[in-house]
Amino acid sequence: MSAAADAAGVRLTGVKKWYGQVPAVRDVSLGIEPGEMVCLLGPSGCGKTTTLRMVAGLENPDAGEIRIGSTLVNGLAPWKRNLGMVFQNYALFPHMTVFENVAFGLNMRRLPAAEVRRQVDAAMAQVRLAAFGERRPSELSGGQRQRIALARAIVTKPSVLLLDEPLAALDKKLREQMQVEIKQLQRQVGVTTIFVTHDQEEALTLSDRIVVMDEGRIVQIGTPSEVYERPRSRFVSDFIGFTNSVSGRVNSIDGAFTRVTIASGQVVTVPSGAGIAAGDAVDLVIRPEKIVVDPTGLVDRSVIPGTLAHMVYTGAVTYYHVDIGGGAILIAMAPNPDLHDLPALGSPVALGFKPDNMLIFPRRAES
Amino acid sequence: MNPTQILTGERALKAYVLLILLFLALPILIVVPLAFSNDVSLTFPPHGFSLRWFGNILARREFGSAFLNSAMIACISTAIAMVIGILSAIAFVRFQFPGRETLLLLFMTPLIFPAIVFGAAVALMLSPLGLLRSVWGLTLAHTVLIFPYILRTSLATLFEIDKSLHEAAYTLGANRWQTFRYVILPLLRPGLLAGATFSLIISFDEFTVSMFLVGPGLMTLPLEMYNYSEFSLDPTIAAISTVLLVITSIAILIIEKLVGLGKQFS
Repeated sequence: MSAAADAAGVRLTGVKKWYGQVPAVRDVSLGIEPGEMVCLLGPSGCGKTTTLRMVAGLENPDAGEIRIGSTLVNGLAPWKRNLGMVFQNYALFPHMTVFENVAFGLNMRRLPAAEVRRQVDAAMAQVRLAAFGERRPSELSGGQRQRIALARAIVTKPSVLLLDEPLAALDKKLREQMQVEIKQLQRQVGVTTIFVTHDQEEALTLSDRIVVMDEGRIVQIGTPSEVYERPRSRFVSDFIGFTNSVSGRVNSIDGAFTRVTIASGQVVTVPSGAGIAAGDAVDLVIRPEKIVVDPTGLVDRSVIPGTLAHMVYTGAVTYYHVDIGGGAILIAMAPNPDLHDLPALGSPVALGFKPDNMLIFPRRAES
Repeated sequence: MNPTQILTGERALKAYVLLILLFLALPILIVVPLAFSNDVSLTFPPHGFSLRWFGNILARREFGSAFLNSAMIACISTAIAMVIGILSAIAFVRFQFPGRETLLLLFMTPLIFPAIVFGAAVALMLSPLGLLRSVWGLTLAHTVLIFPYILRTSLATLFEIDKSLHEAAYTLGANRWQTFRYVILPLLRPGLLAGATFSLIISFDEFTVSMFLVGPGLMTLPLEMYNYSEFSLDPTIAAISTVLLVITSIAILIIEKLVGLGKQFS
């Protein structure tokens, strides 16, 4: 992917923002490369939208620096920042036609009419809505409004594109389709993009890097696979994807390996985690797709026996809820490649996993 | 309930609604035929047909000048109230400041304040300023009276304008003034038009407060009509009323076509 000539990097250094007494963003530092697509991911109230709005200039940081390219933009009005922004509700101007909406930014930049027409037509073709110029936004479907909002945001060749929960208002199927379109468009245009979402799947699909936020702080930055495979905390592992967790107590630590006695009384060997000492209460965390049901014939697997307590068949995959004793349930996910008989409920099942895939975190304080 | 009962119920409701509409429209239904009456006094039902009472309006110069006074005062006070009203509405919607609720309540008081008290108070206040029996004093009083109507319609329309539309305009490179000019004002226009129409009608129609402020040489149309009817109860009054009725109806129709009047009351 090549960055467009005018794509700019974005750098936040020690940015803080309070709403009255309530801290919304506490000390966020983040560097985004030109042309990169970065996602701010987190639960509502984690400060992701406030961070985006500060980059846009719609909020002013109380401390810290924000740079777009080499320009310090603290206090710079949003209309002087050369941005494109797509809002959650699209914010299309209802009294203008689709054409006028897309042309708005170019008209504000006082481009000659012929040039405005040429660029608007190109942008509308890019989002495959070339024939919709004379319609009103109210005459468009949700997906079409979304695409027009995108066209309006990119037609001015912004140095940064900001997307605030751009797909939240669409239904699931349309959302998946728009994810692909946004990603393709972003690649084509090569514009530096920051987008905000609370939907972990959207973040995994679209981003070059994911910034996971919680309570106004960045808790992890990494590529989608880094964040998914190697979450640095329970919070990240819980927030992104589904996770199993089994509680236990550290038996002994032998360099790179830690032996943990889990609730069912078995001893499991896992890679050591930072800041964990012998005798600590810990949670072992593993993704359902990393657990193999009936690992006969596979090497390098730790095996835990159990009984099949429940099954959820979803078509492509089946989720096996396996009772491993001591009140712990592990959920294994397995694809359904062939037409096959599912095991009966209550039958004994062996679960296998690679020790590397089991992550160890300090036991979360009961809240 | 069986179908026949429901049908009877529906009929009763229709009759009831019709009765109320009739009651509301009755004065109008009486005044219009009277304007075309050939009688020399106001009697119903009218006898004969004539247009001479309309001729009489034109013949008596005081009606013409009173009409012009009323029209001018209505236009100027509406224009002033609109500027102040829009700006106040923007302040109320966009900013939080101490005393906001109190100020809003204060601005709305002309709506509920007894007009007779307001009229006397304004007269007492304008007298030492030398603005009694002056067009400007009257215009000022009318501005205060119609201000709440403008403020209310502006507030209602502004509240409907999504905040993200401002922000979208900003991020697209429009500064505050451009955002107001190209995004907010066009969206406000229907509400403002409706507010302006009401204001024009209310000012034109105003009687109680104006009574304290007019005098020889300065008359508004409603007061001129009242004065006239004290001395001669001929159908001239009905003729003027009919003219006003037609003008008002046309204005309301235009507004209804442009923005939908019903929306302004919801």
